[in-house]
Amino acid sequence: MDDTSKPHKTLPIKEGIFKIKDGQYFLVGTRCKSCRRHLYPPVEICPFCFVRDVEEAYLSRRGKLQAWTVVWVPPAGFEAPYGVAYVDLPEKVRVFAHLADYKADGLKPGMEMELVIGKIKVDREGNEIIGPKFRPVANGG
Amino acid sequence: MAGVGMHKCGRYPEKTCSELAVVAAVNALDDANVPWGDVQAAYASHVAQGVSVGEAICEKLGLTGIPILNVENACASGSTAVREAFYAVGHGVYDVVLVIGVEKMGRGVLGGAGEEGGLERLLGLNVMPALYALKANEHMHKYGTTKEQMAKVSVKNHKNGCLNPYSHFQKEFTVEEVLASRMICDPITLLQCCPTSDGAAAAVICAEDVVRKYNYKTKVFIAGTALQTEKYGSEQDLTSRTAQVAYEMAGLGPKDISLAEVHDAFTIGEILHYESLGFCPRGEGGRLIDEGRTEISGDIPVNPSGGLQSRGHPLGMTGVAQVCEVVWQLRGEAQGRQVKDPRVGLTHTQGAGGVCSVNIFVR
Repeated sequence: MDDTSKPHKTLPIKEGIFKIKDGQYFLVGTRCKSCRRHLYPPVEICPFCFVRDVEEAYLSRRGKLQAWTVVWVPPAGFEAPYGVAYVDLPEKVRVFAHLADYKADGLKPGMEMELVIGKIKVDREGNEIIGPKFRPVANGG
Repeated sequence: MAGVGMHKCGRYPEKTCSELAVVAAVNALDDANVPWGDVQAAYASHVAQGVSVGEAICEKLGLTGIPILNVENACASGSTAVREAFYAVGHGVYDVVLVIGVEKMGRGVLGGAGEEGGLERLLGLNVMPALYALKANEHMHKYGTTKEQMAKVSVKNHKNGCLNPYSHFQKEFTVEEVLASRMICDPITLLQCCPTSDGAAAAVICAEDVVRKYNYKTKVFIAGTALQTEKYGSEQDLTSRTAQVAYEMAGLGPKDISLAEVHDAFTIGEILHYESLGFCPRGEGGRLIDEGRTEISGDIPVNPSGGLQSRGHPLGMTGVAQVCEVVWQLRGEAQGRQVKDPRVGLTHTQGAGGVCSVNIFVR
């Protein structure tokens, strides 16, 4: 079997953390039915009130940039440089995710960011692994 | 604290973990004048050295059949071991125990916690300097902290490390050199990251009523100890909350601290810890280093040992090595880096997964 003969696939970094609804990607988190707090990534037990009565919740696609950095020395399996950021969603969830473009100009704390799904890395078999990233909301749409 | 000892930090590919640890253990036992046969329990802290390293160390010291505990709590492993040993002695379970912290570090960037298969690891977000870089960028934006102020932490600690014979690096750097070194995670450069070092440290803890049996060195007591983890919805940051518990137990406050050994794995960390430990108001950590107040000659010396930046950060060792420095300082034995007439020393470590430990010592 020749490796190049195998078709390369596009695979999600982890099942269930983002889904498509109405043609758009959403991050999927958890909402606690008791305290109504949102959490991301999804959990089985609410860490605020410790109940197991939780449900799946689609989170806002937009949030505010809290802080970011560029990783120049990556862990094994990743190619540097890449940007990482904290993005605060309206559901009071802080998401730790990649920046779509580490060179993005004019990044400012508090600026509006939106979710995109893009390449995180290429795995050993050559498959493209995709996951959540954030980019600044384009001015004027 | 009856005695302390270390093995110099550095790179020792030819030595095993337990070989490093035994040197530190023997130094601590000699310092305490405690024969190994009198030790009733041993606490070995290490993070990624494999199974039962504590047993391997004690095998080399002599098989006396005592309980041996292996302690892992990320970067706070050593401090956690000291705390557990203290409670065992304090509650009268043992009179004499030995704490050993050891690590041989792999090369490369320090990962965060995050279990195998967890989302952070899958996404390549388990990069310790990136987490600190995010905090640095937030602090710079919120309070105007500068890259130069962060670099000064590295300059100070490398300068102090030159005076510590157990330090991995004995070399001074300028602010310009620190800023010009290789970028790791914006704005953290290579010379603002702790090096990857091998090393070991040990401490003998005795009950107060037996310590005189062994030696007449200046008595150093544990006055307060705290171990806390992240808490959902907490208004306070982890270090502030942990420090508060330790200060309350010791009946002391930030103004009483003569010197502190804090977790400066990345330079911004030290600036944040100044604020969280109460050495200055929130947002003024940069000013504290600018004013030179945390130098050995300052009014609140921080990391006179050289800290993690210069001594090195063998994960399991660090918390115990901080205790060594505080004991030497409180006894007046720190030679070229001696802080003037210290009475109270504080150690602080913080680790992946959200764990923090603060221990307070008095003489």
